Amino acid sequence: MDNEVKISKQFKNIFPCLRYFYGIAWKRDKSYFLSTILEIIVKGFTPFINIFIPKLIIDQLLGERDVNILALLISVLVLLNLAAAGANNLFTFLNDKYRVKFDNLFYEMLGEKCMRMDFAHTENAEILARRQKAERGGTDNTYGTLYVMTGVITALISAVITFAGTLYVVGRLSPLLLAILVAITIINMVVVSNLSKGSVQFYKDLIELNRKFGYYNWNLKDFKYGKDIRTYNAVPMITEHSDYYVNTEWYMQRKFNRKQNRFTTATTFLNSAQQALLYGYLGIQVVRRAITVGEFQMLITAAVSFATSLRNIVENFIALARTVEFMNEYRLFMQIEDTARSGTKKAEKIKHTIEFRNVSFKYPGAENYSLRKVSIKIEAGSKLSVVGQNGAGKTTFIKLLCRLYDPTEGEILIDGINVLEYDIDSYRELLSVVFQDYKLFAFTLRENIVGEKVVNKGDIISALDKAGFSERYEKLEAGLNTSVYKSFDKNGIEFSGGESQKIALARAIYKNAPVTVLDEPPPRLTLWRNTIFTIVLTNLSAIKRRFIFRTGSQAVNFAII
Amino acid sequence: MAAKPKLKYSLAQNFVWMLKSIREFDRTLLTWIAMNGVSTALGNMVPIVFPKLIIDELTIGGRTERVIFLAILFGVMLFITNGITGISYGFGAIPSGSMSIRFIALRIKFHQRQNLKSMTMDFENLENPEILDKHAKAERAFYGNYSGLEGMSRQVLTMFRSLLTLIGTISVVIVTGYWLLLIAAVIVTITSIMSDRARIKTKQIQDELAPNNRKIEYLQNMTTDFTYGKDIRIFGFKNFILGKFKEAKETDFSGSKKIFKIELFNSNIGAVLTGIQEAAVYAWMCYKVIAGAINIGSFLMYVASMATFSAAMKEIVQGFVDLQQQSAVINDYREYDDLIDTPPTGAKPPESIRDKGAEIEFENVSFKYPGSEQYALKNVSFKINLREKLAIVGLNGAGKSTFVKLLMRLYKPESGRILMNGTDVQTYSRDEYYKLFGAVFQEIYTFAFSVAENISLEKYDKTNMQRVKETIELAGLQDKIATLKKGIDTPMMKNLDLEGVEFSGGEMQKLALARALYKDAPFIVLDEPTAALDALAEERLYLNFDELCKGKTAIYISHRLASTQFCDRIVLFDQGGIAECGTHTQLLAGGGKYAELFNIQAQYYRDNPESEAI
Repeated sequence: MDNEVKISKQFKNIFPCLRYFYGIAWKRDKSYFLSTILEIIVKGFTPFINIFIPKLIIDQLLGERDVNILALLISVLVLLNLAAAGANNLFTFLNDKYRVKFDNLFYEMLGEKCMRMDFAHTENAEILARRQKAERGGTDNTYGTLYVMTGVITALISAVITFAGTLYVVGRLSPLLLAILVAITIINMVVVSNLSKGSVQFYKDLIELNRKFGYYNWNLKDFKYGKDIRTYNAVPMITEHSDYYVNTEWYMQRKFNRKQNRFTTATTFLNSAQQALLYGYLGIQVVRRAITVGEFQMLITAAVSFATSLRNIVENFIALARTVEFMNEYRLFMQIEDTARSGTKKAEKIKHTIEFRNVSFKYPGAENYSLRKVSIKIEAGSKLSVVGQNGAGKTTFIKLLCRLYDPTEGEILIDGINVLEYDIDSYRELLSVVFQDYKLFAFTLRENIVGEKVVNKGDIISALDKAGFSERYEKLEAGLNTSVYKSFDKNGIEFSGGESQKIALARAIYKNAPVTVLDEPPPRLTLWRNTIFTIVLTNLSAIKRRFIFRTGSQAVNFAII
Repeated sequence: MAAKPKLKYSLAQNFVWMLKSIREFDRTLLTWIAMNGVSTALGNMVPIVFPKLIIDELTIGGRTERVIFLAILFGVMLFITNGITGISYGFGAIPSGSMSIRFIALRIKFHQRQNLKSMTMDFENLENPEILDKHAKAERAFYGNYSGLEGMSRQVLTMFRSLLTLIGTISVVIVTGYWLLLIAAVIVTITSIMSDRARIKTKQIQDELAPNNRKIEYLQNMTTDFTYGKDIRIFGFKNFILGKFKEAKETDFSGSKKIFKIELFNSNIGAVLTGIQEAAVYAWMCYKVIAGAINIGSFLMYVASMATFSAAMKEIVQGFVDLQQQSAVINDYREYDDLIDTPPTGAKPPESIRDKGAEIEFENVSFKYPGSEQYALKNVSFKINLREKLAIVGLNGAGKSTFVKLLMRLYKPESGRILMNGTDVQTYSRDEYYKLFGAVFQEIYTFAFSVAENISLEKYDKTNMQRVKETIELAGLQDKIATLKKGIDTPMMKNLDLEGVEFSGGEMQKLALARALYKDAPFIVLDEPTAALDALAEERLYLNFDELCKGKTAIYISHRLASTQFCDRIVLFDQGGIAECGTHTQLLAGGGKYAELFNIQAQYYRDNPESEAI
C-alpha cells in the first residue's frame, strides 16, 4: 500500500519536471529536441529490419532462388543494419555532447543559486540537506539528469513504436500467440517486481552494513592509528569487531541470495517456456500449412521483440518515475524563495553612523533569542570592540550588520535610514569583514584579494603590507601570482593559519570599505588608520592576551555582549 | 605507447597466484567457476542448435509430435543451462548469484588478511615514504568487484566462458565456412587493436584534462559549499567564481568532444566491418543453400553461430587487455606485500621487568628518519633509572619524541643499542615488549567503539569494567562520563553509530591518560599530555602525578619548562642530542640553555600573567 501511494506521488511530479527541465533545454538548444525525436524514430523501427528481411531471404531460398533478388535482399539487409548502427553511433555521440553541455549548465545554475540565495538559507540544516539532494538529482548521472531522463523517455517511446508494430505483425498472423506472450510477460514482471520489493530493503541494509564495514576496512587502516594499535595491541579487538560485520554481511547476502535464486529459477522457467511455446505453437502452424517457414522465422523474431518492448515500456515508465523523483529535488531547490528584503536605494561609500535600535534576533527554527533588544549607536569614524564569551552573540551581531540575516525585531539604521531600504549589493560595498572562519580560495594571491578585477599592483601590495604580510610576501618567488594551496599548482603554498588570516585581512583592507569588521583578529595587530569604523570581536576569555594590539591614538570603545 | 616500467610479476605468475589465493580462501569457488563456464557455453549453444533441428523438421514436411517434442526439449535445455548460469552467477549488470557473493567474500577475506598485516607490520614502515607510496598503489587491489583478486577472478571466469563458447561455435561452422571464421577473427582483431589505440588516445586526453577536472571539482564544491558563503557574499566573488567555473567547463567540454569524436569514429568503423562480415556470411550461406550443400535450418544456424562467435572472440581479446590491467594492480599489491612481510620474532621479556620495572640505557644511539638526510638523534647515551620520574624538555624538533619512539621500539636505532637491565631490547619479541609501555601520544585517536573499549582497547566482553571506572576517576574524566546517557558503554565517533559522542581536546587527553593507566604497564610515557587541558585540569594532573605513576618509571615530555618541576630529573634535548640533565634547581643554577629558555618563558608569563603560552 505504502508503495502505491509513493508511486502515485512520483507520477504527479513527472509533468512539472518535464516542463522545468525541457523548458530550460528548449531555451538553450533546440537542436537537442530534433536529435531526440530522430533517435526515437530510428530506435523504434530498427527491430523491423531483422524481422522482415530475413523472412524474405528465407522465402527466396525456399522458393525461386533468384540470385539477383537474393543479392538485393542481402544488400538491403546489410545496408539498413549499417545505417541503423551508424545512426545509433551518431546519437550516442550527440547525447554525450548534450550530456556534458547540460550537466555543466545545470551545475552552473545550482552553483549560482547557492551563491545568490539568502545567506539565512545556507545555515539552515534542512536546506543543506536539500542542496545535497538537488545536486544528486540534477547533476549526477547515477541519479537523475536531463541526460538520464531523455534516455528513459527515448527508450520508452521507441519501445511503444516497436510494440505497436510487432503487435500488428504478430496479431495479424496469430492472435492467440499474442495472448500467450502478454500473459507470460505479465507473470514475469510480477515475479520481478516481487523480487525488487525485497531487494530495495536488502540493498538499504547492505549499504548501511557496508558503511560500517568500510570503517574497519578503510578508515582503521589509516596509519595514524598505527601507534595506538601496536603499542596497545588493539588488533584482537578490531579483528573481532570486524569479523562480526563480515559474518553478518555474509549471512545477509546468503539469505537474500537464496531468495533471489528462487526468482531466477522462476523467470528462467518462464523465459524457457515462452521459447518452447513459440517454437512449438508456430511449428505446428507450419506443419498445418497455416504459415510458411519464412513467416515462422519472422514471427519468432517479432514475438521476442514484442515481449521485450512490452517489458521495456513498463520498466522505463517506472524508471521515469524514479528518475523524476530525484530530479524533482533539483527543481524544488531551484525554486526556493528568497525572503530577505532588499531595497532600491544605493548606499554611498562614505562615513555613516550606524544604529541598532531594539534589535532582537533568533535563528530560523531556534527556540531562543540569540540577541535580545540590542540598542547601540556607533558614531562614524569610531572604533568599537565587542567582547563576550563564546555564544554570547558577537558573531550574530555582525551577521545582522552584514545583512546576512534580517533582524527578527527592531531595526538597523544607517544615518537614520533602515538598512533594508538599501539595495543589498551596494550595501555590502560598505563592509570589509574578516570572519573568524574566513576562507581563502585555491586561486592566486592576487585573485584572493581582488577577485577578477584588473587593478594596480601597488595597491594590493600595500594592503598586504598593512596586514603585516610584507615579510612573508618578500619571500614569495611568484609574488602576487603565487597560488594559494597546492590543489592546482604544485608550486602553490599552504600558508599557515596566521599567514592565511593576514591574507584574509589584506582582502578586507584592499576593499577599503567605510566599515571594517574583524572577528577574532590576530594578536599584536596594528589597526590601520584610514578606516572609518572598525569592529573587533574578541572572546572574553582571551581578552588579556588580545589587547596587546596597538590602537593608535584613538580610544577604543567596549561593548560587552 | 611509452615504455612501461618493468613489473616484478608477470601475468602468468599472477594468474597462478590468483588460483592459489582462491584455493586458500574458498576452494569451492573453483568448482563454481568450472560449472558456470560450462553452463554458460551450453546456454549459448542451445538457441543455435535447437531452432535448426526444429526448422529441419519443418522443411521436410514435419511431424507434429516431433515438433512438439523438439520444442519442449528446447525449453527444457534452455531452462537447465540458463537456470544453472543464473543461480550460480546471475545475469545483468549486478550479478548476485551464489558464486557472485563468494567473489565478494573472497575480496573481503583478502582485504581483511591484508589489513591484519598492515596493522601488525613494523611501525617504522608507516612513516617510510617509499612504503607509503607502494601502499597507496596496492590499495587499488581492494577497490571493488572489478579490481585486484576479485576483479581478476571475475575476468578469468568471463574469459573461460567465452573460450568454451568459442570452441562450440567453431565446431559448428568450421566445416562449412572456415574462412568466414577467419574473416570474423581478423575483424575482431582489427576492432580490438583500434579500440585499444583509441583507449590510449582517450587516456592521453583525459590525463591532459585531469588538472582541469580537479579544478572543476573544486569549483563545484565551492559554489555549493555554504561555508564559503559569507566571504563570497561580502566580497562579491560570485561572478568571479562562476566565470572561472564556466571557463574550466568550456575546456572540459572541448576535450570531451575530442574523446566523443574518437569514439564515434571507432564505432563507425566497427559498424562497417560488422556489415562486411554480415554480407559475407549471408552471401556465402545463401550460395551454399542454392548449391544444395546445406538446408535452410543450417543456414539459420550458421548465421546465428557467426554472431555468437564474434561476440565470444571479442570478449577474449578484450579480456586479455583487462587481464593485463588487473595483473598490474595485483603486481603493485604483491610488491608492497613483499616489502612488509617481516614477521616479528624474539624472546619474551622476563616477568621481573613486568612486575618491578627496569633500568634503561641508551648506548650511543643515533637515528634518522627514512628518507631524511639529517639525524634526528645523534650519539645519545643516557641512563633512565629504575622507577624514575623523568622529564624531557626541549624545543620543537629537538628529538624528544624520537627518543621516546626509539625507546618504545616504534623505530629501530640506526646505530647504538638500547638496553633494558643490560639486555638489548631488539632481542625481545616486539609485541611482548610493547606490553611494557603505557603511552599518551601527542595526537590522540579514538576508535568507533564504546568509551570503555577505547580505554581498555579490548573487546567489551574482555574488558574489566571496574578497572575502566577506576582509571576514569584517576584521569579526571568522570564528570564527562556522568553526562553520557549510556555511561562508559556510550559509543564514540559517528562512523558506526550516529548516537556516538565526540570528545573535546581536553577530554581526549584525559581518555588517553585513562587508557595508559588501564594498561598498568611498568613504564609510562606521556607526550605533552596537558596541551589541551584547561588550567585547573593541568594543575590537578601535576598534583596527582606521583599517585598516578606510583611504582612505575614515568617519562614526561613537555616543551613548557615550568611544568616539569615535579619530576626527579629533567633532561634537555637540543638538536638531536642531550644538552643538559639534572633537577630544576641544578639546571637553573647552571645558567645554561635550560636557564636561558626558562627565563624567556617566565618573562612572557610575567607580562601577561593570565594568558596562555603561545
